[in-house]
Amino acid sequence: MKLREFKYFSPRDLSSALELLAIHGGHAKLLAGGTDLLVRMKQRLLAPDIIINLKDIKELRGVQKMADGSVFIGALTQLTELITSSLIQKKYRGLWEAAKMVSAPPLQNMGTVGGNVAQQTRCLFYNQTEMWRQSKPVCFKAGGNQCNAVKGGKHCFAVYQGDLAPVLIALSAQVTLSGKDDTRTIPLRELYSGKGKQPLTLEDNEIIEGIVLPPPDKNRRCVYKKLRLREAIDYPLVGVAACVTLAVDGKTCEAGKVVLTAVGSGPVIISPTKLFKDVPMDDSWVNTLAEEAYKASKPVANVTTPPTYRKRMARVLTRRALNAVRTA
Amino acid sequence: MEKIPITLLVNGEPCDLLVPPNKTLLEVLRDDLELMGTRDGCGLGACGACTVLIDDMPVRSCITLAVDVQGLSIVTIEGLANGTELHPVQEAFVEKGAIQCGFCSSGMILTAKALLTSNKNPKKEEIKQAISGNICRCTGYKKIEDAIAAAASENA
Ligand SMILES: Cc1cc2nc3c(=O)[nH]c(=O)nc-3n(C[C@H](O)[C@H](O)[C@H](O)COP(=O)(O)OP(=O)(O)OC[C@H]3O[C@@H](n4cnc5c(N)ncnc54)[C@H](O)[C@@H]3O)c2cc1C
Repeated sequence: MKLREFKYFSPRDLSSALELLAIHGGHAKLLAGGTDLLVRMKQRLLAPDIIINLKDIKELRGVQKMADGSVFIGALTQLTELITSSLIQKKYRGLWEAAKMVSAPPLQNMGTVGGNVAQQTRCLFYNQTEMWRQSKPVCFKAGGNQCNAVKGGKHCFAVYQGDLAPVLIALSAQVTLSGKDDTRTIPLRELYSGKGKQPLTLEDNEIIEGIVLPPPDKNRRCVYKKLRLREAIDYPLVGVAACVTLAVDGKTCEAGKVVLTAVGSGPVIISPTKLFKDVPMDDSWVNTLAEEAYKASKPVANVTTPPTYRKRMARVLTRRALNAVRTA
Repeated sequence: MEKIPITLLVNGEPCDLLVPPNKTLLEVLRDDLELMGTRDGCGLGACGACTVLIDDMPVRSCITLAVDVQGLSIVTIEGLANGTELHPVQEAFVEKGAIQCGFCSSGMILTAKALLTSNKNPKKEEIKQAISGNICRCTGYKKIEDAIAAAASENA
């Protein structure tokens, strides 16, 4: 499988990359580890004229403690670096668990944090070779006007299957985005539009600089549970991140979120105040949230297992995740 | 298309090449350097047959651009044996019958070598985790795990 021709740039610093992006805009694609982008290019899902490699931009790499106690993860930090960071392993356990469950070690040696959060939505009827796709009408995601997964579907249902976004959003992480003229830091949840065809709110001329984690907190617990066909390589069929901050009694939840992946076109967030603010973490709390997760999950038949099973597993994994945070 | 000059250190030998940016490392290894030991499997990063070591870390050469690895050290399966003397991991694979069709072997052996470089005495779980990104459709993995464990104890 060969890649189509493109022009290649490998800027050494962020400002040169932003300049290139400002000039080439919609014709260019940013390349980090390439484990999502190059696969899609091989399948002819996109054919950019220009590739801007970000791997030579050293300033965007590494895990750093900031003066205010927060932690900055550069967008070009490889997943292996995240996994071997003792700060992440000790203070952000759920994130560490999720990173270890992304694909498999050789892909973790390539894939980056920025590429992970900015990965595209996927569909069994779209992420296929050109020849395979020719056997069906052109779908919404490929620029057509029908959905090949949901009969009569009026829009694209492609599913967001990133493993890091649910944990990062549960931790209330922020993302720093740089454009040619300004830099903005927004809650990571706002990076996702929830739309299958156009899942990110990132502008054509923007680069993700990195992720900002809130300072470590000994009263915060975060876990990630993932369902996949094999224990390795596979994308999540359902993923559930639960993050709670415990009151001093260790039994009451002061704040928190449950965030699901792979059950819709973006991360699905469950965070009503009444279920997280000063609530005892008893069995009924676990069951109520598991039911909320079940209701909020809207999987369709566009991955390898049936949606009814995945919807039920969203409930099961939420229960497991919450039981883990309350007993940890 | 414009070609870009790169130098790769392949199995210890510096190689000067002129490559178009859309050429993968896998294509350069097989087509330009005629090192056919690196297998072209799924081509999409999923199967692990194309695994090579870059700076001692296993990566997928089918989704790595050759221009992206300028100046780096690459080890392919051809780089393991010392003349006619097999590397201990290769020896163990032969000894334990950890090979059937052989298509996954290059990637498996290189992945195992990388594991044993960073972890001299891996536990069974660590062996499983290390090769979890390499698919074998013949052996059922048992003999491969045994071979890696045997190579480790040989090492110790
Ligand atoms: C076999 C296989 C299994 C996989 N399994 C999983 C899995 O289980 N879970 C999972 O989450 N992922 C999985 N992936 C996807 C992928 O490996 C990871 O998500 C990885 O972290 C992506 O990072 P990357 O650097 O390789 O991204 P790239 O492919 O380089 O980039 C992905 C996208 O993000 C954009 N991008 C990258 N960096 C930036 C930046 N700094 N600013 C703005 N845009 C940017 C790119 O333009 C591109 O559109 C799998 C991939 C393969 C091939």
